[in-house]
Amino acid sequence: MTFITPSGCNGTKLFFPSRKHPTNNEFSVFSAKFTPDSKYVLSGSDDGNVRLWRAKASDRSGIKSARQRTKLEYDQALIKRYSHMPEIRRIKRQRHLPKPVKKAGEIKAEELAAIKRREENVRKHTSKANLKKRQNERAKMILANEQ
Amino acid sequence: MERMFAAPFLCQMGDGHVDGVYSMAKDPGSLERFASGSGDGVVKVWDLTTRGEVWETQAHENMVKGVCWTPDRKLLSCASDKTVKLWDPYNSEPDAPPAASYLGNGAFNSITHHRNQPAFAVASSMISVYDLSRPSSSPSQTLHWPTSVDSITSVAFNQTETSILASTAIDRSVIMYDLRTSSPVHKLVLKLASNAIAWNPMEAFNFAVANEDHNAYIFDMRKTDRALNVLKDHVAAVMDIEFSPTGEELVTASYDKTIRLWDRARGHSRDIYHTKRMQRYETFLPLS
Repeated sequence: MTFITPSGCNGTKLFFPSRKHPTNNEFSVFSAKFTPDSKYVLSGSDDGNVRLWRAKASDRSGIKSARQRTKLEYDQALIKRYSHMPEIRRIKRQRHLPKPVKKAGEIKAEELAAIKRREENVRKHTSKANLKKRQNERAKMILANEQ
Repeated sequence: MERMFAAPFLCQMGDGHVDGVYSMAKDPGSLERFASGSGDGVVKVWDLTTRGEVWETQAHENMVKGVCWTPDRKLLSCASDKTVKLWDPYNSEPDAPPAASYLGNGAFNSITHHRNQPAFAVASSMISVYDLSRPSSSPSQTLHWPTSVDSITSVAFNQTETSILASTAIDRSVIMYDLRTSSPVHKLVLKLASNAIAWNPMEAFNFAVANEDHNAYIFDMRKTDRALNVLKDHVAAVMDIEFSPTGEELVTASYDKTIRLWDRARGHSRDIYHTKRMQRYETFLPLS
């Protein structure tokens, strides 16, 4: 038996009462919190699951010997020392992304670049007298400030 | 080496909810208890050490939009059925009736508790502040910007400068209120609406908003003509944001199905967690 529930902007989904989780594979996350010790992160998503994550992905909570601690510190120092090198930086930054997120990111970057290019072209063909001052990236989204 | 040992996902709590989880709150007096509210009106309290459910109730008739804890470890939940209910998960049985309930005029979207006074604020089209110490179920004061009518999506008390309250609304505004004068103080309008607001627990004057335009912004309350930082990486609206207790890091939840972790001072995220791996994991669970 299946039934359909309307659920927000994700459209309708098919639910199988015998299996708790709908068939399509991913859901929006609506809530995220740090735990009070800031070691873990909690997330609550559209599919009804509350998930627990490590705040530092490679961190382990067990008691560490002095030697292990020294090793971790040394590794961190090495990463810091060599993070300007392309190979190290690539490893440090690379994350596996779900395909839709990666694709959306690529499309977004392309569109933003197009907007920027267009603005630059307009600026190039505007006389100096009419040229507007460039807006700061950190002030762009502010429309008004009222007291 | 560090990336080889990266395994961010730990577990999911118990059996989760039947409907989506739209609000969560951690108990400020405890390291292991937190509450979550679901789309079908159920509120559950979880224990982090056993990773299981400890308390549950059918709190409301429809979507629970906000939950928060009081300093004396009771739980407040607000929902779109125009009620706020007070629960006592530590001392009562699951499915016990609420200790108190408060009625409002509109559907409530968010709730926050004062740091030390027995007062909480809920947001509908205006902000109503209720006094927990009084039996009356009508608000002790209401706050709203004179010209704004749209519904308020989130509200947060500043936990250091305790009489300051900030809210985000559908009309794209971020408004700050002062309880001492019981009036709105400052309004900031952004290009798109914000979904959530969080105060920095260590720097009382800084707050972060999760915006619809895929970015999160950190502002200084005293100088809002410019953001302190813009956090850019998400590819869909940011739904929730929170500072870590140290105030150095942030976590955001997004409509693009990922959560991201940020350094306060950097523009791009430190890490991204997503549920793909999880979904594979789920298929191995025995189906009941």
